[in-house]
Amino acid sequence: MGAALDALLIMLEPARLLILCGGVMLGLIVGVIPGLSGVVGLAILIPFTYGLDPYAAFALLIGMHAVTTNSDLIPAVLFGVPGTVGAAATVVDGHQMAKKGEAGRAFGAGYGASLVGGLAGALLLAIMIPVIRPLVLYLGSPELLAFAVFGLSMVAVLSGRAPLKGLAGAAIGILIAMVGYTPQSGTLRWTNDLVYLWEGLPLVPITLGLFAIPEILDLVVRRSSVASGRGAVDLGLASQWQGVRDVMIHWKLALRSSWMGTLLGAVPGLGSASIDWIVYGQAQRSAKPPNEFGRGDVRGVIAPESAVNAKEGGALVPTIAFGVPGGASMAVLLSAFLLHGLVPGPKMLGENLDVTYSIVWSLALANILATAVCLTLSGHFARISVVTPGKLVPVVVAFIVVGAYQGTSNVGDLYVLVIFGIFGWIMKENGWPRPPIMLGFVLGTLFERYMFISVQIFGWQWMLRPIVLIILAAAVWVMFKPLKDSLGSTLHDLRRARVARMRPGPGALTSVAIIIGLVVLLIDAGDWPASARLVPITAIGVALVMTALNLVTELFRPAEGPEPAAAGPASGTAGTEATAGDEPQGRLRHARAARFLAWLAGYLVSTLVIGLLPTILVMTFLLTLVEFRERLRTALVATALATGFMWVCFDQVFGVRWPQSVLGDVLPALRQATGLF
Amino acid sequence: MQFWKNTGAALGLAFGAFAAGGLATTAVGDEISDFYGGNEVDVLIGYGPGGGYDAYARLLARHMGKHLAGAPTFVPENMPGGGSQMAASFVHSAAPKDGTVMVTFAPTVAIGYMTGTAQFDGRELVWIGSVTNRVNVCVFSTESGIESWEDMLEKDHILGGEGHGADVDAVSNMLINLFGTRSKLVTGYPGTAEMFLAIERGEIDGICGMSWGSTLSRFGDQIDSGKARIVLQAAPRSAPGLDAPNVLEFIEGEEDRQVANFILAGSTIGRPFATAPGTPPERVEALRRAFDATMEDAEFLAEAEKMQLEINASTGEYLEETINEIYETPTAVIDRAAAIVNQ
Repeated sequence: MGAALDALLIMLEPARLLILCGGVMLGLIVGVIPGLSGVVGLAILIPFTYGLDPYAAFALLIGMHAVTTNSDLIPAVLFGVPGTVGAAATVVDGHQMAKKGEAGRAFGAGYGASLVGGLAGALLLAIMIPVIRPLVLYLGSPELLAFAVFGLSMVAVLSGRAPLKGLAGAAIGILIAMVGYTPQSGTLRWTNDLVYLWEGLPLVPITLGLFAIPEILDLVVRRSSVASGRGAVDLGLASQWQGVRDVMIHWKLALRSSWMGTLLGAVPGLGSASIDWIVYGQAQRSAKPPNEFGRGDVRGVIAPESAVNAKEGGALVPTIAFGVPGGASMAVLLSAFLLHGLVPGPKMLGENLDVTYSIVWSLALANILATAVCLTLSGHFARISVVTPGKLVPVVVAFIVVGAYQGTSNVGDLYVLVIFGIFGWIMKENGWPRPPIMLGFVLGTLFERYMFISVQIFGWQWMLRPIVLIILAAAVWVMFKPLKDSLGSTLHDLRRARVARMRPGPGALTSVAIIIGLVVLLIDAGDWPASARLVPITAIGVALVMTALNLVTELFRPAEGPEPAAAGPASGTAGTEATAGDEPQGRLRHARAARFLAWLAGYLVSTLVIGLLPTILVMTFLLTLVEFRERLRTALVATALATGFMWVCFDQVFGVRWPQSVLGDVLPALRQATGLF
Repeated sequence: MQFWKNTGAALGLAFGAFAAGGLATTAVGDEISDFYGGNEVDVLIGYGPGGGYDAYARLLARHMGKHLAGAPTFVPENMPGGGSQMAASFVHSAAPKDGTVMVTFAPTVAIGYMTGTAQFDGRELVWIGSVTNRVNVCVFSTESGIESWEDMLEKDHILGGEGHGADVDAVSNMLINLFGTRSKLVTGYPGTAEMFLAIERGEIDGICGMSWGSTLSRFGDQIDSGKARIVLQAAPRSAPGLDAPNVLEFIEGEEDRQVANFILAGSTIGRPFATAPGTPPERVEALRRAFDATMEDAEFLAEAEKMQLEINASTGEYLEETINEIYETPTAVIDRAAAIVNQ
């Protein structure tokens, strides 16, 4: 206890508090901009910690890193654009709330939940410090495998009323994760001679493609502001307080999500991109009716936001106790430890205990500061939800495009964004839930890696280890009820299917296209070694069966509306939400969507020809003026603001290397002088 | 990175940092000094933040500027992809050829052209130097019962690996397939730290192909406390002060020796830095000498020691010569080495 109090006194010194504030402000900015992540922020900040003592250094670094997940819900709620990959689950209900005019309430709930999560994470870290080492030693490869299975079991919940599509989607997500170099045999899976694909498809452009692009498309098609026509719009500070009160009402959920977040955060390999979905699924699984998940339930914001902030405390556990970083940002943080002469391991729990506790306090103080800042400032942000799309969409698209490029700083990231954007939109249009795809993608590699290690070392007895048994039992518990309910209604559908009632439509066409795609992948996998084939072929098998069954229900189901009322919890998810009555239908709808996708392709082509930042300049202007028919002055202002901000932020501060363009090849002097072409 | 420079003073007050690039030293030549005085040098890293390549490159970038006339800022940039092939190919074929770009990447990319796993001939790059080479060691937990080379040949044991093509896997496969150790290689661990944890848990018995330097600095505790021991080393030159047999002593026949040397070539190259083909020779010379001077810089070395990064530098000339030699390896040897590593 003494060490903890000493550490608090150290942290409360004004100079250190000031540094912590600086870190928090930076972190909030990094979090709110899509594509920018805490990892890059850490790497840039570390040289600035040279002259600082370790306490101040970690105040700066932890302060910055811990709060990126406080502000990342702002774009998620407003535009459906997750600010970091950990905010993807917040999009589902948060953005729906904004559409209902409740952006302020979603913010309040998100900040409140983040604070609960951040403090709980810090507290749990402090409690775990004395017992950290044995705890982590219990987590062997079989346990990590079991955690991956547990995470995947959430698919049953996240599929909502479309279990066939959900299970197929999860299998497709695993297949997406299989692209690239496989460590077990060195096989290059589905890379088609593209070096870009060797290390697999990058997370950031896929997240933005699957979630952000379809939401933006929705705005483009509707041609109205985010919060139009769906109830009264409340932008006052009072609405934020309502969100905070929601957290107090659902305090059990917030606490449960927090400890789950901390626990899962301590598992190496589980990052915020998977934790948010797992905890979201948990909230949905255990929620009492009335259950509005997927249609703007505040609990869908509280759960992932508290978990993702609590995760930070957990992620520090293996880093501090063993020097085993659970992910890239912890690895960068590890180098900061070493730079300050601190060797992670037993000493951090002994002679350097005060530093460890100062990290705990930094975590707690940073979260309190961030919540205060966010609550004060974001009343203004909520107003954005009533801005007309013509002034908004071009700027948001610019941020999505440049954000996606931060995936690996390669033009390939833009292809991934566009392809997965189109894929995500088709999924959304045809009622395919996207969260299972995402969960399959983020857990696929982990699952395959630890399955091979576990089976090679322990054979099938890996399943008999006590902790493994507990986790697997939890997975069964998660899956049982939702699958029973939803599969029951699906079987009901299948039984009533009649060939005579065949009704081909876009849904059936999508299923057929997916089946064709799967068969192509299957043929391509033909000559891989057995170890490289096992997981992908199994996943293809599952996806094929589920999609084929889905095709049957879609083709031959009796006509009684697209979503037959299912027994059990009415749990829609992203992509299955009902469309509002005021939306344009039919040809106009598709024409607008197709035109926007053409614009998106235009960004890609233009980037290849004149470079990325010049493309942002040109396309933001054209999109505002031509597609949305705004006034010239509006177009000029939007263009100047977007491009100027990006130049300062990405070019000057983050030193992004822009892709090389044809123009730069023709005029090397121009490239050399500006670095933009 | 202009922004940091311009506002460095203001931020410096807030963060207690110092603005980079303010410590000009002696000018060597006017042309070099003028050029680098007005340009930054990008240090491309073939991997994302958080790995060893990233740590070495950022460390080098912080110190190399003061040893180059004109004192340019060295700006580290991550360019991940293709197991660092993306960054290396970029510098080989697309980057400016004026001495403003350096790149660090896996040695396997430098020689992968011979085995068909890389897209360009590594001899075409201009080598600046390598911050360290590596002596591979076999580390076993005390509880594994593996205490000597003889034990490795006689007793069954499990080794951890990082994945096909990694140094650890190459060395382990060499021991199994060329020397006949009774090891079972379980591969796919995300990194050496995770493997050390797996040793501590008793999941695996040991690791072969760890770098001696990083074993000492990161896991020295476990060796000092007797939880783990070094049983073997594998490198063309043994590590001074390391009391463990070098596996190359047990080799018989010239062809086997060539095969082993080819497999260990990556360890000799270590952590290389290179620049674009066609860079003006005087700037190559300036970069190489600045690199060498950095490797002797007391501040640089002190910081490397703090960060537990082993420094055992080679010059650009030495790298060039070594890589040219490796490319002379007969095809039959390369094929056999590839078969051994790929088994």
